[in-house]
Amino acid sequence: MSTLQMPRQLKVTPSPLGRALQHGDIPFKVVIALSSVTLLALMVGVGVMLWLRSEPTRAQVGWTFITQTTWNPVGQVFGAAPFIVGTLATSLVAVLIAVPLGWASPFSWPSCARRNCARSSAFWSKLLAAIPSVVYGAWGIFVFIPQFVTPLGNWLMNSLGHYMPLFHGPFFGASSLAAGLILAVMILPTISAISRDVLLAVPRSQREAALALGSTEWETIWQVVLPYGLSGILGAVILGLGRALGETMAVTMVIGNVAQLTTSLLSPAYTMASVIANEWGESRTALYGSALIEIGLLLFLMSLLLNIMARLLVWSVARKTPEQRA
Amino acid sequence: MKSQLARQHHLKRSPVHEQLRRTTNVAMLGLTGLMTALAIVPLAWIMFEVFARGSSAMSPAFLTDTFKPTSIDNGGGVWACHRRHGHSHRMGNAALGADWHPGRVYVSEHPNTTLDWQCALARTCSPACPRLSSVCSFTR
Repeated sequence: MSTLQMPRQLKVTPSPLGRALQHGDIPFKVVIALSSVTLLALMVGVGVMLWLRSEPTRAQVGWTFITQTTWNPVGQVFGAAPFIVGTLATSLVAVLIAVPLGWASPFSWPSCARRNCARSSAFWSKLLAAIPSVVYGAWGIFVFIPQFVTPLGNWLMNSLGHYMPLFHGPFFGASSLAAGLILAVMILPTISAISRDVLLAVPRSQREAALALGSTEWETIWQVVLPYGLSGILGAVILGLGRALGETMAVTMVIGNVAQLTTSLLSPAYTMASVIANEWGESRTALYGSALIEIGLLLFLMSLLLNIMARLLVWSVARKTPEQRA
Repeated sequence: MKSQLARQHHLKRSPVHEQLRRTTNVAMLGLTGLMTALAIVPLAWIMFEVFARGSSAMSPAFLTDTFKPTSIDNGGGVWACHRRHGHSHRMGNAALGADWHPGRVYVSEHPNTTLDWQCALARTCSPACPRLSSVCSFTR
């Protein structure tokens, strides 16, 4: 009896809908689609709200908001140029310092693989990402600025300040330089961790082939490993830059918060995120609040533009073959 | 023939060139090692300072005392209890979608979870944590 029923049971096949529901394909696709749409809607919603709420400033101040260098809320004069320049300057300093340090960490892998220190160094550098930004800020105020930034700034001012406007004095500690250095420490784990993951993804056979052909370890890194993982490493740098642009608390605590346009890294400055954090509570007039929202809109657009550029850069590098890149 | 000669010439490197390659290798690897060490210095520095300065203030009272105004004896000191509960409350709340209502529902339906323990802890110092205790009172 049972032998007769078996073929009949096997012939019963569920409908496509039933099969999809049974295996969870449709619910899974619906959840994924909803999540994607929600993310996109959130981003568009933030952009639209910032655009709408900044309307009074856009109508009254116009494009001069970006180029105007005076920020005087009492006199209802709003110019965001000092904040834009401060944000870009501190982020640039941070990237210039963090990139060599962040790249070197995964590159030191071949030399210390035998001593098993590569993993521990990666672990410790990743721990930096777990420290809250307010702790970085407090450390910056109480330790980093008096013990490191002040001597360094004084030395730069005395030795190079006469020739380079970048290091003109006076110098009191809280400055773009201090903010840039703190940001460099903060974005270091991002660059280092992603670069390490990218370089570990380089096939072992590539390294071994280069070494077997007589290359030194450095030549293997420079001519084989680096071209192979260049797109990922560039992406890591852009991600670090994105974090530097939007960082608020630590920068607010060490930058000095002075809305002035200056060429010197040793002068106090202000960033876009810092001015929003500092002045939002006291923005009593509609125009003042709207000006702060427009700064937020500019920051949002800058981050968006940066991410698009990063994506294009990674695509353009990834399209090329390793031979073309070399 | 020409390319073969060129290849042979390429393979025959002078001792000076070999020495230069070896020196460059050692120098660059040393530099990467130095930069790796430099990257870890800030972490060690921050941890040392936080522990060195923070450990002197650490005590059972630091963790359990509630806020006292500066005008009273021994006042104006630490109020870690309030802050800790505010912080854990924010974390739990954020994890639940930054909404009060799901938090309440979650705790009522999931006893002995982290958020439930936070609420239980909050009730022990409810005068210091009015916002958190008001949320958690919904569940018990």
